[in-house]
Amino acid sequence: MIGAVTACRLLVVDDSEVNRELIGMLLAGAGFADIAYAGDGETALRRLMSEPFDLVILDIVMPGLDGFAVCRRLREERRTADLPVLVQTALTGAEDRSRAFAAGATDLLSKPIDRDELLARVRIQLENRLLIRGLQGYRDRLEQELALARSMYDHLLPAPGRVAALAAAAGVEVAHASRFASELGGDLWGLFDAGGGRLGAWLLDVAGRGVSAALNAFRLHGLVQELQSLAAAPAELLAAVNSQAAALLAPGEHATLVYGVIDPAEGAFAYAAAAAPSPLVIRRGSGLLLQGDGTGLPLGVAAESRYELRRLPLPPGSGLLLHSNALLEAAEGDVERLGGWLRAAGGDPSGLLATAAEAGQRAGQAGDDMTILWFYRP
Amino acid sequence: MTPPPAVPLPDIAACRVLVVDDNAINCELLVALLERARLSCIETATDGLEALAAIERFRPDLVLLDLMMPRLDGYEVCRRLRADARHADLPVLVQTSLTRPEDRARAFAAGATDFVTKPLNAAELEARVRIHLQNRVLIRNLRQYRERTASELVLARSMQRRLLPGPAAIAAMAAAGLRLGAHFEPSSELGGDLWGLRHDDRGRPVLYLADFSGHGVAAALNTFRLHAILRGMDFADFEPARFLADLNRRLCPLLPDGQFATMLIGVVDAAAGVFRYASAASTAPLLLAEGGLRFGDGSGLPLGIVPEVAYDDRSLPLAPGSRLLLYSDAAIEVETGRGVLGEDGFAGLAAAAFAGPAPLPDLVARLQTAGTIDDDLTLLVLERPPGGTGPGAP
Repeated sequence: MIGAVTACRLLVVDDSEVNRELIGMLLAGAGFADIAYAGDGETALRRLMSEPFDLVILDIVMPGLDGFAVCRRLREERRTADLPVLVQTALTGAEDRSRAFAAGATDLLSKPIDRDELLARVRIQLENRLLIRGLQGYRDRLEQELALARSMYDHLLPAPGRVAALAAAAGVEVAHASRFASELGGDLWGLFDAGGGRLGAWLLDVAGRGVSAALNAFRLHGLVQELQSLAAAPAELLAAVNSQAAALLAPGEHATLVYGVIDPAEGAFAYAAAAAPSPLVIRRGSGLLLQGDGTGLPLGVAAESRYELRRLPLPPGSGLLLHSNALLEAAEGDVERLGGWLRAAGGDPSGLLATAAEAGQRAGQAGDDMTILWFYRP
Repeated sequence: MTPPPAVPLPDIAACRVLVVDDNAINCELLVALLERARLSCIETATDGLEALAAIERFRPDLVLLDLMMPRLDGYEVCRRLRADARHADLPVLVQTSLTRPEDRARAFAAGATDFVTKPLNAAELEARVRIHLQNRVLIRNLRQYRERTASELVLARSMQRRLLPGPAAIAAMAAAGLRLGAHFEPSSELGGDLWGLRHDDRGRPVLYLADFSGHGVAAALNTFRLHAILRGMDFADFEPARFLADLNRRLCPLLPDGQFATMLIGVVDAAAGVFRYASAASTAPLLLAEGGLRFGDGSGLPLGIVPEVAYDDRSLPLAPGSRLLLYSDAAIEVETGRGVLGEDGFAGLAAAAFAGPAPLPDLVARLQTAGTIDDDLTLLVLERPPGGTGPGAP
């Protein structure tokens, strides 16, 4: 038997001392060194609730708490719910056998105990437990790491209070929704005060998904945040982000970015784009009005890229929709279809997101991070 | 009455079961039992060869296997499955009318996962099938999780390696009459250490080592941000304390409460024979010179706590023949079994390692021998060779 198996800690529960000794001897003969014993159900439960064990060999007929009761109690406790319990029963006792499984036994050992069967069943259960425990340990560690990373990602997004303050200052309503294909993602967005009652908005979409996309999103976020002084000049801001991004991103790592300024006094959205999905002008409840132009070199391809300043009209009663690539992809590039979803979603970006995610899944798409940002002028 | 499960059990409804029995009535009986247990993906085979073919085609999650069959018996099916890595962990529940202990022993020796005797006890069979399938689903889900995250982390790890100076940048230190050696080892896939090498406008090397709180993915995210900020900063007129204060001011708004970094950054002024540095709660730089060992001063507020912090400019002599060691705190927090290694313990190991011909690998080996290292470990050795430059790294 492999060392990890024989290093496991076992509890043998039997009211007969002879049986305890016999089982202990057979186990010791196979290399098990860490074996504890209990002579009745109460003692067994007390030890199992307070000490770590890897497997229990449990007799049924015992004075006081019998094996069925011990088994049931073990399954009720989180600590012992998945502990392998091998119950000793007579091979012919059909009713006992069914009852043992109903009480939560993992496996049965036929009485009288046969050495080969005992060792085979103990080994199979322990190997299984060690495999599962190793995999669970990995998952627990990663889940913890990724949850912390996710909270850091959430911390990068503008706080609700700041969104509300900037939106109020510009006289627009802001709503947003996003979903990740994995625990972490490469979509990020932010708002800038562009001065004079104007609101700057950016949306970043890093190629790829998961941890590596998030690593790049984090560093690009840092770059964008540091360029707030260019908030009123979208084309310059993009050029500056790109020249630094080119030094950071490896060949094949790309990101798209759109940044623009909503100017309610002028009734316009002035923006620049680096291979971003087209910004859309919409009307609440009645779908798509205008499609902007998101073309431009992606971030990180060439340090000297220049970006064009473009404009979209944004009259009162209309809205602006910024979105990551996955939204239009879910509509299979069909803007009309997206318009239909918009009408159906009314004023709710999460509704639009859910519709799009569902459509993407139906179309057999692998699932990408999706972010929707919209700004309404009342 | 089955007690309510304390943890949710995996769903086995989609699991596939292969029933193998040469007796048609037994086959039908088993299929009926499985269907009663709400399993619907069931196929049957009537001998061992058919069973092996069905396993390839049908990919069952569990095999209910008879032992005595024509052409190829159940023992041989078991053995062949266990010899094939793809099926080594496929649960095989042997069902047989053989009841002698040696029959059971033989089945287990051939690789059976479990064993039930005919006539079958319906409740027992159902319970055993359920337990094996639940295990199978649990293991499969956990494995899928591991495969998915592991592939994400492999990619992320290579990205993190690329943040660090490459061999060419390290070798180019020779132009400044210096040698640099580096060891970087995250405690898991990703880590919170970052080191780098830049030059000021007079071509003097600027060396830094930062260590973020925590480890793993979250700490790694912070190293990427720090790296991006440092890329954008001006090293032209580099002054250690002023630079560190500026960096702290930029980093502060990005870090959530409770996350911070320690850092040491300094410039090598070979002409003046000094290393001028500033430190934010870093480990104390260790100087190994002819006169013996000497620690510098690593004190200072960590980065990312408060935006306005003043740091001190400090210096250590760096005469020809001396070596300067920068290290993450994992190097002094090695768990030796009698507490942590500490600065003095680390200095002792360093002195011993640096008496030999390959000091850096030797020091790493000595640290690993000293105890358990459970944090990201980075070691940087800056050497000013005696009487000018020499080939190779320390």
